[in-house]
Amino acid sequence: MSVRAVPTISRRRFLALTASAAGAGIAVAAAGSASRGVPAASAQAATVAVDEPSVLQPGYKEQLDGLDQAFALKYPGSRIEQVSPPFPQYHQQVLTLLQAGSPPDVIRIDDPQLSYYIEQDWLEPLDPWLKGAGLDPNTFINAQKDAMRGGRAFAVPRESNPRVFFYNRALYQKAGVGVPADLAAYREALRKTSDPRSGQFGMGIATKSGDPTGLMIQLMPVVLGFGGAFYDGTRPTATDPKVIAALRFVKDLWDNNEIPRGLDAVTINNLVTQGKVASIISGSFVYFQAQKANPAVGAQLWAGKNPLPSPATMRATAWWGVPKAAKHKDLAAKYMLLLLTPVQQKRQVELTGTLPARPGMVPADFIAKNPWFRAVVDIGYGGKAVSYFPQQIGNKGNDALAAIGNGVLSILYQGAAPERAMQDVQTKLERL
Amino acid sequence: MRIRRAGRVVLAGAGIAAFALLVVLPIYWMLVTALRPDADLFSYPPKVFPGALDPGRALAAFKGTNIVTWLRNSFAVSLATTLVAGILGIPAGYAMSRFRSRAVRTAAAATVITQMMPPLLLLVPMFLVFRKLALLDNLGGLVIVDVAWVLPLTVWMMKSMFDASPPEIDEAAKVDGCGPFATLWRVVLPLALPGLAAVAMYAFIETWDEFLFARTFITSVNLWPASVGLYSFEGEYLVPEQQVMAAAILFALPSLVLFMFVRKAFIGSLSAGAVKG
Amino acid sequence: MLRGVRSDRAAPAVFLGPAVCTVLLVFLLPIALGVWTSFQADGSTLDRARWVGLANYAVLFGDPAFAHSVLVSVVFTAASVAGAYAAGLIAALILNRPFPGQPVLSGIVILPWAMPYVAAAMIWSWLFDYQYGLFNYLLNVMSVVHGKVGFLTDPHLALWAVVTVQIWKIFPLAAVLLLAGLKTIPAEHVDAARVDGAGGWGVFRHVTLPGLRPVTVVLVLLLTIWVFGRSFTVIYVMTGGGPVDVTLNLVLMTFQQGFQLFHLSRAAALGTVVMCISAAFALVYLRFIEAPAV
Repeated sequence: MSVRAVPTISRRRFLALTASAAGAGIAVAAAGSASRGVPAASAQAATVAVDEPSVLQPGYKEQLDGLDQAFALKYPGSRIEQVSPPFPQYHQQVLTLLQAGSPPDVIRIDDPQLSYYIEQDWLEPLDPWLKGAGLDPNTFINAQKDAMRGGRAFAVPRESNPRVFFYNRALYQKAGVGVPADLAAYREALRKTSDPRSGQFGMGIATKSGDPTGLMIQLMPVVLGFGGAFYDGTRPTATDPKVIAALRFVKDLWDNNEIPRGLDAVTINNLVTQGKVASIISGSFVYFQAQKANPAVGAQLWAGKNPLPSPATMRATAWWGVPKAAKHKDLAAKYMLLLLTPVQQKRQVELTGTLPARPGMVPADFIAKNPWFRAVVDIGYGGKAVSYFPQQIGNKGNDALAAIGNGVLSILYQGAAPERAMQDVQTKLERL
Repeated sequence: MRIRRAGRVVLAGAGIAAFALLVVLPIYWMLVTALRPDADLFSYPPKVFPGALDPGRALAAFKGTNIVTWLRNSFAVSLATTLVAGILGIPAGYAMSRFRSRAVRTAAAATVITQMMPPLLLLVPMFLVFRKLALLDNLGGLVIVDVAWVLPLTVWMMKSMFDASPPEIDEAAKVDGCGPFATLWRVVLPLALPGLAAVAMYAFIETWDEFLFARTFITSVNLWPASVGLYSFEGEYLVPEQQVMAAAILFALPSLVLFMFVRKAFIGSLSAGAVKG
Repeated sequence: MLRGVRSDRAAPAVFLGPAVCTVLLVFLLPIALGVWTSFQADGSTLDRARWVGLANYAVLFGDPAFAHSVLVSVVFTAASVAGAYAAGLIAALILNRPFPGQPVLSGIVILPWAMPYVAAAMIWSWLFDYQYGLFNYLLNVMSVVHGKVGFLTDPHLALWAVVTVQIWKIFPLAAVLLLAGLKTIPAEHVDAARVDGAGGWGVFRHVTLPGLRPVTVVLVLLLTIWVFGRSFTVIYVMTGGGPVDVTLNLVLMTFQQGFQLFHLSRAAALGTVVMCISAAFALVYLRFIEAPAV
């Protein structure tokens, strides 16, 4: 019978090592759990859990820190705890917590989730608090309409960003191109400012699969710019010739490598910030994030008049809501009311460059520093921007975006004929 | 003959080098990316051998975040899970190998079933249960989940290791008067040390990398394990690539260190041929 | 020789009980709840649920994307497991004997396993990238191809790109377990084979592979179950299920249905289907492949 050699580390020592390491591990784990923090005792001395993932972004961090401090001053004994999970996990985590009935006190909601959360009756109507503060949600920025049901406000926009045409002046000058005034000039500018051999692209559109929201946010401005739309009220219009024309335009850019292929929105933003993308139609935050992350390129960015045929544009909005199952609803609503005070609304503009809920809060010197922001203000509060999400069909909007997204991507990746692809999309949308 | 032998060695060496290169290329790229200045991140043609190095962004990953706390949490959870999974899993694997009754086989099959449902769907029910048991936001609770998570492979792998160990040894031990536990502890286990090392590594790394349950059950930022903390570098609008890659490399180091420790367990048998009994 | 004839009847329960109980206690109820959810209407919670029987399954089976998703899952799993096993075996064989640089190589082999999934997927995405990727650059520079290869953008290539990354990520686990398995093969068997005149290949076929059977059987079973039912991050980060759903496996589809489209009951149905397919595979496997090895 064979006997194997004794291993070079004695069993006793090996196990002793493991046991002491793991024992230390358990001790630290127990200590970690014990040091969690004192649970809130009463409504007077409460810790309000706010779940806003932007808290880690430059600009937003300062804004929220200031807001949290103001809250602690105004309501002594209470404080705000920012409990957000990392952004990539944010919406899944909030969904899990809402389903389980243990949501934070304030949650951030984006366009795709808003209808669903309202339909599931997960959000507390905010009218009592708004009325108490003398605020009428019907005077808020246009995006507020999406959060109203039967005259009641279920959420309040923290920011609503209409889309602006940004271009990189340095890249345009280098290519010898002036600011494009119409579609033909823009087409020419795109051609001249693209140089795939050095990784430079005339325009940025997110074309990665698996995120219909990301795709639509960057595609809709082009579609709207051609005068088309995927919905007319609740009637699908995917086969509208203007929509087809817009998609042909994008496909042409794709074929000629004038837009990057298969990148997501965040990477596109990174490229803009690094001066690799010469133009983009996006929210004003792109400009301000670039300023903070890369001032050299930020200085080259400029906003111009949209060169596409139609001035129609879209908005993307982030709301704040108070879940019905929240532990500190009253304080949570008061936190939101604090955000809506003029001081905090102005701070938001100055620190993040986004449009807050209430009109007339943009400081004059901010516009003096960024003259193009005046156009953003006009579009945003003038009600001319539409949501990229078909809020009018409620939660089915997510299925709609998925169908539209797949259709567009089949044109780009598989070379499907736009009319055919959109006919399929139209059929799917009609069946929803 | 010697030339042929030398040729084979060179060929083998070249093959191994190519294999190693393929494996290590992405790691090299991660390292290089972590140290790239912003301007070179999206340069094309890509700079294979970086010109300027800028550790600034990478260092910022450690200055502004709780990465040290997160790593400490990860250590605690992973080490505890590995120990408990070992204590529970090794006897279980032995039983599955030596006792072949229907009850044993059914129980063994049941453990594997738990690995078959996409974990995404288990989050809400598990959250509800853990909330009832007041185990939320508690690293101890996370250890319980992770132990249950790694046990099936631990058990099955130990079973296969014990399967390879001839039952005559068990018989000899029994003749010597050992009960089943003594047989396992004194006689069979030392022979399965490489397997033990393998499952220890598996339990540690699997727990270290696990973030779905960690994200769901742990809400306090200072209790995050590093797997969740790593995500926090990815922002909503911008992702600082260098920081993500620097943090990722730091994240990988403990597993490497652990491997260096247990590597010795894999060396043992080489001298086996010299000892014949 | 009959294994397992013991006089101590309590031993199996004591040895196996705690482990099995832990696993079942943590996961059995959630799995049951998941299956229960698949029979309810969308938007149900524990307090207000509406039974719809097999309606969610009917919708699923009528959706061509579902059948396609099953196919993607099967191909992805088979290719990943086969590739990981092969690469792991090669690595284990190399590491089984000492040579200069063996510690370094063993450390290198562990690296993909030690790297976090997300960062690994991100860096591979970048290497494969159509416009900025290193691979396209090298292929052009070495004149292997002209123009760009759409590793992640060409519907014909994307699946193989993600398979490559999945193999890269999990082969070290296979390597470590196979290495442990190699250590259980008594050296005398190898010597005996050589005495009988077997060359390297003969030893491999007649001693090594059979000696690795116990580990191989378990490894393949477990890798298959995991890749089939849990592989999410690599595909999600690299292609998001695209382009045009060519990499949309069942797990990703479950995620989309549950977390993007909010069809939670349909997602539960998908999860249940995944579980049933895995269970069927495991039962067949255990009966015909594992059991005869006893």
